[in-house]
Amino acid sequence: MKVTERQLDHLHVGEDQLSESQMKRFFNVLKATVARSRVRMTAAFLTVQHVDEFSQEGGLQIEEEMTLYLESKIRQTDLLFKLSKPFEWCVLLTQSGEEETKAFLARLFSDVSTQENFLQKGFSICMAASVAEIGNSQVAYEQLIESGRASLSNSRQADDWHIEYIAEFKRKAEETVKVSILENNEIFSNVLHTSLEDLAIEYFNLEIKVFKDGYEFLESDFYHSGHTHILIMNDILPRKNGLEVLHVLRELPNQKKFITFMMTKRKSEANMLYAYEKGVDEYLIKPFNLRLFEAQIKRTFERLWS
Amino acid sequence: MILTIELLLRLILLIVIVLVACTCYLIMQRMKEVSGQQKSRAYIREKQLLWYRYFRDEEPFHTSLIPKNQFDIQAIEEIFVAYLNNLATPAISEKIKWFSNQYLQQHFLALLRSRKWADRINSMERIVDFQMDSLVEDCEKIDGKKYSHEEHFQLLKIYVVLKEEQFVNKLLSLPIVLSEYEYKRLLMGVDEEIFQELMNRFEELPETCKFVLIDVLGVKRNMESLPFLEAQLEYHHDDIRIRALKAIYELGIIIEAEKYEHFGLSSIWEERLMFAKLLGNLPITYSAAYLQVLLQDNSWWVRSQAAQTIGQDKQGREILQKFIETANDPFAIDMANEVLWRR
Repeated sequence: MKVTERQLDHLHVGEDQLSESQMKRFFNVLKATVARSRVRMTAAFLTVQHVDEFSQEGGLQIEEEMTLYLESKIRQTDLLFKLSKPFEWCVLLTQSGEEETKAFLARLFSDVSTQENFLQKGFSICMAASVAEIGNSQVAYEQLIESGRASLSNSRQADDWHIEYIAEFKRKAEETVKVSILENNEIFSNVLHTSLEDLAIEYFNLEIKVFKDGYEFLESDFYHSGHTHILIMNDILPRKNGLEVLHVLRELPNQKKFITFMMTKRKSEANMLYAYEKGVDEYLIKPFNLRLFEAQIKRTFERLWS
Repeated sequence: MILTIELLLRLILLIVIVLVACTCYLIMQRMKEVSGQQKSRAYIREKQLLWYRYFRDEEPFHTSLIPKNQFDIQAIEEIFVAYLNNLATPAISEKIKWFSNQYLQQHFLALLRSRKWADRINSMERIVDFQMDSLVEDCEKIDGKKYSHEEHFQLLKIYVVLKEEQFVNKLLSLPIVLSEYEYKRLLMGVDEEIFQELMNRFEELPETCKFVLIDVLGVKRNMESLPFLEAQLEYHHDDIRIRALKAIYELGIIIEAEKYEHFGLSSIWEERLMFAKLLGNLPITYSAAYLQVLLQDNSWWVRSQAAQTIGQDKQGREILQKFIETANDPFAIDMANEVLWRR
């Protein structure tokens, strides 16, 4: 190995340089967004194989060109930085999961292996990588770098173009979602309650409450919180009906947190259009199939994470 | 007769005794009712989860679900109605049918034979809701008796659900006259075979039933009814023709546009209106010429519909603007402007 190690406290981001403490802060902001916006982020650690075949001068040039090349391959939402060891990079792919990163690496590896004028030094470049999907905001920067590099070392020893996957940061943090059932038939509301309670929904903890009418719901403080809130309500209710409740909720500044399911016997096109225009997300025509309802609820939860 | 004080006191005493007795009776009745409601509530509270698991095939049928008294039956009725109104699937309906035939038959048979009209009606309604085919013959046995209008209607509903093959004959031999609303309630629930039989025997149907049949075919949007509806466009009764046009519009498909062209020149404004509406299902390149004529119709409704039909199309704005520039009819121009402004 002829290339010398660089200073640990400087990481390269394109032409600018960020100190490690700045990088750490940046990472902390990004990982907080992971939990808040429910959008996964992935760190891809990259290295070039057989670097000991490079001369010192050639090695430095290859590393510099590789940094520029990688920069040209990432999206505007991604972040590339050079790790402290030579020929090691990390790409933070915000808004991407493991699958998208795998596809990104396949494209990158294919391009690098066929890049004829990539380096006109007569070297053939082989790479290796490790991938860590981040699904929660508990991941520490140092821990990520340490695991990423250890995994990268395994990948390097395994084979050219090998990718190692790190599962330890993937686990999504459990989130509480409020569910309100607005229905005045006690038997039916209990059926919905039991059905939702029995649903196995990964990463989400449901806090379910039943209200007999819209007035009781609006008088409660159950909806005065930042939690994502699913409302399953009948359109016809005593005191305040489903559409009146919907109108109040859609006027709130944080109205996007409400996902509404309107249950109704009215199946005319005009009624459905009106309900959707007023902000209903799903329209359930009674009598409906409970299994299909559960599938819709599950799908709603799956869509919360992108 | 002289009303002595003693007699007066006796009378007052008698009235007081009668009043006290009545009050006691009412209190006891109320207590009985409340106690009954509590027993029904208790059954619902204790058994609703078992019913839920059974309906969802998560647990087998449990004998503890079988009713032991009148209050359990009331509770079961409440549970079944809640499921049927909100969550019916063929599997749940089948389980309700089996259970009702097995364990509720005697209860509803007694109600069916009751001298009280309300009991008989309630029983017939539940026979339909729970599809208790074991009681159809009992319903027919008392068919000969003097039924009320409502009972005749309920009996027809039973035929729709439980004895479809006899429904049309029963409908045609009905000794009472049903309203349009009642026909609609019946025909909305009938299956394809009954529709076919009704279409085949269209001429035999009472006039109101003919109207409703055409309306319901439109609501159901079954393409197979198009030839029948098109055949009714030649019918001598204008109400039938107008309703057939409306139903065809609901189907949203026109195969031979030429069949409808003459309605644009009809002397009946409702037919011209429906023609203007129907043209919305055709490409504007074909319909524009007809619609521009209808835009100058002497009926406000026809003009309004023609303008709306043009307005619905992507190129409609352009056509309306061109029309405003070239037309002479101020009423038609007003209507075109109205639709343009509304967009």
